[in-house]
Amino acid sequence: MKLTKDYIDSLAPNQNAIQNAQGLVNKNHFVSLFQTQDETLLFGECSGSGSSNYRVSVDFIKPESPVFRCTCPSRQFPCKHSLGLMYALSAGQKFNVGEIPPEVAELREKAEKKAARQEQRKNNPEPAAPKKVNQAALVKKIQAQLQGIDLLEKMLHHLVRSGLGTLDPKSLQIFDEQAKQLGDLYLPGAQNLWLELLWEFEQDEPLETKYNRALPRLLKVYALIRKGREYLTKKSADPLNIVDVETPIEELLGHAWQLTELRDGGRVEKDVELVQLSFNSCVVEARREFVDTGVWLNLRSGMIQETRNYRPFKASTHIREDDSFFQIVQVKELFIYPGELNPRIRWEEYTSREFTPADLKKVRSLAAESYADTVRTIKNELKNPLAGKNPVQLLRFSKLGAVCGRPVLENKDGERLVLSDIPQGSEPPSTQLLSLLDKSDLGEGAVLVRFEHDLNARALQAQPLSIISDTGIKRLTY
Amino acid sequence: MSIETLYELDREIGRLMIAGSDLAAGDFRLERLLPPLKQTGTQLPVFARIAGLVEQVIQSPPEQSAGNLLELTNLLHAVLYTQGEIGCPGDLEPITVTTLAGCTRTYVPYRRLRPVIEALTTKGGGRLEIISEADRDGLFQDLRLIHPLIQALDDSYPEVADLVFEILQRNGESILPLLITDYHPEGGRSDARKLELIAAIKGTGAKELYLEAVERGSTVVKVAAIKALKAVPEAEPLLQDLIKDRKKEIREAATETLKQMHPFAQKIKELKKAITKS
Repeated sequence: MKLTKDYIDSLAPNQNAIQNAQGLVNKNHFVSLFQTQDETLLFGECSGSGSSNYRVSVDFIKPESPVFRCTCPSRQFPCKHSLGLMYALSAGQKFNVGEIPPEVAELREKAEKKAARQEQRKNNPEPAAPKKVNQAALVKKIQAQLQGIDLLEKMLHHLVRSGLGTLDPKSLQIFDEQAKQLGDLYLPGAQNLWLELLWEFEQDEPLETKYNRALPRLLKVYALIRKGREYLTKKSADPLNIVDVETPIEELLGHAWQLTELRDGGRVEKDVELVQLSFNSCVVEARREFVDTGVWLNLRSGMIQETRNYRPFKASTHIREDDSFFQIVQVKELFIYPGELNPRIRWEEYTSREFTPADLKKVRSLAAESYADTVRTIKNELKNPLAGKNPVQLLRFSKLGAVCGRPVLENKDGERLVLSDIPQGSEPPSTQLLSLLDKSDLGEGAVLVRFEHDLNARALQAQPLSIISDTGIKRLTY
Repeated sequence: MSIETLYELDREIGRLMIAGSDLAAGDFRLERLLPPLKQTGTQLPVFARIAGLVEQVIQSPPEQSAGNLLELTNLLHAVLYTQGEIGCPGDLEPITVTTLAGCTRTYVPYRRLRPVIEALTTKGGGRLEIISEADRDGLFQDLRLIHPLIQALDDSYPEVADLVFEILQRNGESILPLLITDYHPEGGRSDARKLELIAAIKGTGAKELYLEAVERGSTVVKVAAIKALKAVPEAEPLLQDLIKDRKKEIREAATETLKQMHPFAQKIKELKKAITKS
């Protein structure tokens, strides 16, 4: 069996786990290392702080979803011992061939039986019993949500009537308290939007800056009130059958999509390969959480899609922190969330393979040729107040040069796009790295750009995130 | 001109949003914008719609003012979002590329890279260990770390600053264009450190830069330049003059540099002093 360091890194919950696991290998904490004849199971013993060794195993019977088992008390999953076992293999340490331990064999048997039952159920589906839904409760929930929309409107009107300049710590606290009611009225999404709006006014910045940053959020709240009310009113007439799986309205109101719902709504793509072109993680203080965002190119559809991993501060140590990924991800079932130019995606199981020159060629071939068409699409997206304000696109260029010191992309038809860093964006500045690239990176290639409309500069700004040249993908952010 | 009216309207809306929409009724600045909007509206329907909404805002009673102002802002911004410029006329020149000797790739994953960037660009304990470990693992071959490294040259923690100096020095002359780009002789400590690094790499080769800094640099940069002049024998008369400078730091730096230029003379002086004492 061959495991790459990249793959093992990707399984780790955070950087500390990686370092600790490698520490176990380097300091020879593994007392014994074994693998089965068929190379599907790694197991061994690792010394720890307890009196007896931890018995650890990694089961690759299903390579796309390895099973980690360890007797240590760690709440991190996989624990450093499971990771260490894999690092030991990738580092070329000697694994003796051994018989599968009885406790693992027992667990494996149970898992196999369960999988067989599931498979059987899948192949011979029993006539599904009609899902019991309490319609009256659903109607009641929608009525509560409509009340929440009314409350949000009242708060927004109060804020606009009295003026954003009058917001002081006391009024912010009152609004903050009122926002809690939105959560109680089943509108956590609207509550988050409102808190993000208020957050802008809690910053120690000039009023004008705060206003400029808050305005898109203000308009988003306004649009959510209108669209949300319209949608919920329609839904209350037939709550069982009306579910919008095309636009992001449900998610904006606060619905957390279940994968089964996405599957039922037809938002699934089968057998897809994806390549990550950029990654970032940022802190959203207003919502008290980290958001890890991976920007992926779907090699089948050519769409730029995003994985978003939300990690609330309170639970951040127990939730795996996403990371940059340099291999090709192969997914049997890709779930695509409703809406947006760069929809959110998710998968449950995946395998990976090396990124090859053929993939590089494919990535470049999927880049958009016409800047005019791309910009039209972007502007259409931006003018929708409910859509994201920072769409991402992959563009082809024949030359990356400079005009009056500003980096500029030019395509084969002579169309141009000025590149610049997005001020106060969540990504670090990247244009300064263009002059550090190889000369070959600046002629004939593709570039992943994040857009933002700057109303004051009256310009559509495009920040380069990655350059895809003959030599590979150069990431300018993460 | 018509687009200008929209931007002007946007500014007026911003004013009302900050002051409160209750003050919008009969607002004369909004009224002033109505005729040009209506005029353009005869050809472009969206302007007519905007004009209609402006009228509503001006005439609205206080309880409807917020809704009307938001409706107007929403439509106006939908239009303005379609007006962003993207192009740039002029000759497309090639970008001047700096190829760094030991640093051409971007291969370090986020979870490994971010702590190093934070260690280089923030303050607090435990950073030296992170930077040393990154150095041991060869992470500084990733070109995304170059600017944070340069930023950390004048770190308040001397061990960090020295380690960063050493890492950057390994790039040799290839790093010089990056150091010179943002170097200002009249600047502060960060510019002085850049000059020190230039001197460590280039030696006498950057003589002009040192002389320029001595002539018009800030005190801290001037001190760094004086120290760099130790490798430039023809600068001795200048250093002799600087011994009499009115600033103590400069006098001390010049004396120290002269001592280093003539270690033998210094030894004789020390010996004489010792003999006299005995």
